[in-house]
Amino acid sequence: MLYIKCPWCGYRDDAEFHYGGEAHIKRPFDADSLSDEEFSEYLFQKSNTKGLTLERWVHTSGCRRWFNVLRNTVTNEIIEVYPSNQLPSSQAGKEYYKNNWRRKSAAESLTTRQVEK
Amino acid sequence: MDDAALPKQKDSGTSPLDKLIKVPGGAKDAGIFLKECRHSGKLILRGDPSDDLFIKSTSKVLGYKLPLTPNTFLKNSEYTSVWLGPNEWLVNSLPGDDSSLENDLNIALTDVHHSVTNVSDNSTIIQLSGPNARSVIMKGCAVDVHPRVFNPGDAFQSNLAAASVIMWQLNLIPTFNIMVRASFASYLWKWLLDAGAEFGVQIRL
Repeated sequence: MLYIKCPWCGYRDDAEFHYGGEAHIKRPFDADSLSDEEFSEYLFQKSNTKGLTLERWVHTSGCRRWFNVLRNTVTNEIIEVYPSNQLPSSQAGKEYYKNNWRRKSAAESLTTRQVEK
Repeated sequence: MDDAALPKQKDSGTSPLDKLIKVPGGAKDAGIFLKECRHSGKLILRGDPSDDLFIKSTSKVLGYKLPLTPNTFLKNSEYTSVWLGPNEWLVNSLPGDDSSLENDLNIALTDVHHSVTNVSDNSTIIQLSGPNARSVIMKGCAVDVHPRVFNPGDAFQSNLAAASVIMWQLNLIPTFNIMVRASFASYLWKWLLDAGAEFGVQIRL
């Protein structure tokens, strides 16, 4: 049983939440310019880390808002909870985000390039 | 079921709890009291609380500013507004007032980004009170309702006996209003009777 701190409602049982998979998967801005391999990498490849992971949760039985969680998959320790439109603010979360393979993927570099324009 | 066997109600509408035997009465020294708040109006109001015009326009209709603190509610003699999310509220009104309130809100918010949805018939409100009301809630709900953290003016959305509910505390008796889906209402009413049996249950109409 996880005890998750919803940013709005505070600590609640995990029975009240639904899991939303990996966080920070950015949809490529111009998907047409990706090869099939690069697009399938964006769409199907998911991080399955042993240790820290950034993931999305929704407080289904409560306020029904989405948020992000930094969790250790081995110890189930929840290190950080933060709004879904933000990046992690803890040192461990920042490092995990920065070093994730997705940051170097073709789909994401395309997203970044488009945003920078 | 023979309608003649049902307790006579003042209103002509039906409630999801009509098919249950709700004969008023029970133990005089009961630990909990159960009552259904029939046909109260329920609106889901959405809008941006950082928009001053939204807050001003709604407070003109409701008579007070919408609660912005998570899991609280505000009320006056006519309307109860429960915080459901950072941009979402439940407005509970007296029976029969829902259509006019819906209209008033839509007119007041004409030039403001908002939505008002009438969900009156989607759910019903069971009022649970009495000295043992907290003990009954604690049997089926993980949210802490101890008076050191939960008091009149506080509300929450969670599961009670696995049924999805919105609950708010009205007074120090304590009295809780439990809003539950119509399809779960008879199940929850029976669960409350069962969970309250050890304290004695009195049913009020």
